[in-house]
Amino acid sequence: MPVLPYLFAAPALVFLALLLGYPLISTVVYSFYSYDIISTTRTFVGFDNFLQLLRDPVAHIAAKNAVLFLVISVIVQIPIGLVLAALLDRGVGRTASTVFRTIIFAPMVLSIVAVGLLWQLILDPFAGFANFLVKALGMTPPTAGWLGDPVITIYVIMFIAFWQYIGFCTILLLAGAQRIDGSLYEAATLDGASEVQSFLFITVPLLRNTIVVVSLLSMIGALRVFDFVYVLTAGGPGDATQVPATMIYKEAFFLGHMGYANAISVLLLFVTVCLGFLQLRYSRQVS
Amino acid sequence: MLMKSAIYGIATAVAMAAAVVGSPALAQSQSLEVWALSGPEGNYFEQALKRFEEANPGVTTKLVTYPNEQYKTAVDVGLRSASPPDVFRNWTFERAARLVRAGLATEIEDFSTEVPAGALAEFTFDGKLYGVPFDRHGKYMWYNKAFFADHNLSTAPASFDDLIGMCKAVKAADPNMIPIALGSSEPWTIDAYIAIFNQKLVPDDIRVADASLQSSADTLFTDPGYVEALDKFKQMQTEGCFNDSVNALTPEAARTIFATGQSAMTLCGTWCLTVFDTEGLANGYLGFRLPDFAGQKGASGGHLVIEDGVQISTATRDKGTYELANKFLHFIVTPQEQAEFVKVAGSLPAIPGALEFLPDVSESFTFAVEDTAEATVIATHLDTSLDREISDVYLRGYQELANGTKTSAQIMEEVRAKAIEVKAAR
Repeated sequence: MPVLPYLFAAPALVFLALLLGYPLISTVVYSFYSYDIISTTRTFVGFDNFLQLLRDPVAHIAAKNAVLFLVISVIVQIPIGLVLAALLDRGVGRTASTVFRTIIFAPMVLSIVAVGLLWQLILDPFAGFANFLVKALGMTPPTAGWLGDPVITIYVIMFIAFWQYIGFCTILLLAGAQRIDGSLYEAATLDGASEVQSFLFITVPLLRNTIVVVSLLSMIGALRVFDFVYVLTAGGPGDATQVPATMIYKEAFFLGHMGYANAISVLLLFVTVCLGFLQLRYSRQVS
Repeated sequence: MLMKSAIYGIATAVAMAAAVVGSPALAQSQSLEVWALSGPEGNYFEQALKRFEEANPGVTTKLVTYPNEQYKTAVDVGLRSASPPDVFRNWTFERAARLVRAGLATEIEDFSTEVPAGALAEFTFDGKLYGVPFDRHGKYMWYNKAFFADHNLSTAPASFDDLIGMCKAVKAADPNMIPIALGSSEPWTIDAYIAIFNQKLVPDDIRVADASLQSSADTLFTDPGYVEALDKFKQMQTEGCFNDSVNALTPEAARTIFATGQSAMTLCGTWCLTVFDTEGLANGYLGFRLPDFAGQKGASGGHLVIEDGVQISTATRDKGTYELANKFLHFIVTPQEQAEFVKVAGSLPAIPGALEFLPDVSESFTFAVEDTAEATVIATHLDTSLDREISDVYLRGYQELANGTKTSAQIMEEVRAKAIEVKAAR
């Protein structure tokens, strides 16, 4: 049995075990304990933390928001990304494609905190551009404010997240679209197919696997969302915009419920791993 | 021969090392890590640490700062980490007490000759001193002097009803003027109102017993004054005292709205004075305490005063920096340093003697120093005086109250349930 390959891989494996394996195992183990961030002792509580999760009304809000984020991210990001990818691939010239690709992808390279603060200014109820625009269109802005209304704020956060990540979806879908054989489109055109028909009956079916992978990536991203919510509302007003990650942060570091926070993390990890597993499977199919 | 040379070499090296360690200059070569809030407070500590280094050759310092909300979490994590701060800023009462209970903050030296006893009391637990205040803040309703003078409006409300009347008078004088600017995207801004109203509407002994969870489980937070306090805040909102979209507005934006003359009043701590001055309202504002309620059960004339201070981490005992940390604490409460703190951070000094070094302070500042010094009945922010789990219910409830998604009674029901749970767990 050759040992050398394992020796070469050993440093990376040790590194991975220390940075990933140890925290992972610790998280699972500590999810069965109750302890404060500043306490010196831990109390074993079995599955109490997981049972509390079922009863906690804030957890229900966080779960509902996570599902909303997950479903809407797929419903909104994929179709828009797909249309943009098709336009960039076949709808505009080479130079225009490069310019539009840069514009669409630009928000992706910005810091999330900077994006959050920027949008906070845009959505400011007194000096923000959003209210100015809405009023100019003859409509009334929300009385409680874009980031203060318990019903609409979560959707506003989603909009901002999509604004930043739509470019990422587009680039991945564009990469898939560029691999489609051009002769298929030529044949379709000779047969009298319109551009829309080509998109619907050639581009979309042939991008099926890429769409699935991008969808799964969007779903995993939606489940892990933290920064946007934390910067824009910190989970408020009340708990209206809590998502699992902000809840973990609050329980662990603000309320000191480290064990409970670990239990939420374990559950979130389980769901994310399941989605990751599906993503890997479809990635293999694509390749 | 070789062996002999080696032994000689090692012995020489050891002797040299001993000499170096024993030399007076390097014996003092210690480093001190201080954690504080970013912003004006951090700016002061940055300058103070430089002066401390100059006054103590061989000492190096490091300042770590975080914004207000993040700091509360960071300090908990930091104190438990492998590299905790030596000196860290903290709030008084429960926030300081919990770190003492957890063994993360250590007892400090005697400061009774430097700092007034009343100021030290907020950091004294079981008769031992665990921190020293470096500033105090009073929360006042600041008003725009020119607006009130131009419209001949009263600036001395004698009762809560008068305050509501002021809001209406402002609106009547100028419909575009916001009576009181409020930004509660961070809910502690509403907590200032509720803390003061609780002090006025709940009998003092009951309020203190509830805060420390000494009341029996069946009476905890049942006094009707608590619900009334939340109702009074809601009344202010429904009577048009505040701007719209309070939960979407940051506290900083609310200060700017007042400083730029778009609102007639705002409730803010004395740390806001520098903000108002730099944003265009220098010498154009004055303050008053929130007035009493007719027939209130709490002591009259109560006032929200906050003290901030510094504590020393228990880890300094092992690190050998305990004495240096105490030395820094003594350094920042000298009248000269307190005066520097006032100049940079704009807060009120913890040491009255600092005023001797501050000849040119504004009318508002003088008012705040004198008025805060007179405060005998003190209200404290609920997020520092209550257990974190209970104050969290309050804080979340404020935003829901402002949005109308929860009533005062519902919030107090939740507060009470949490208080019973926390009491049972202790």
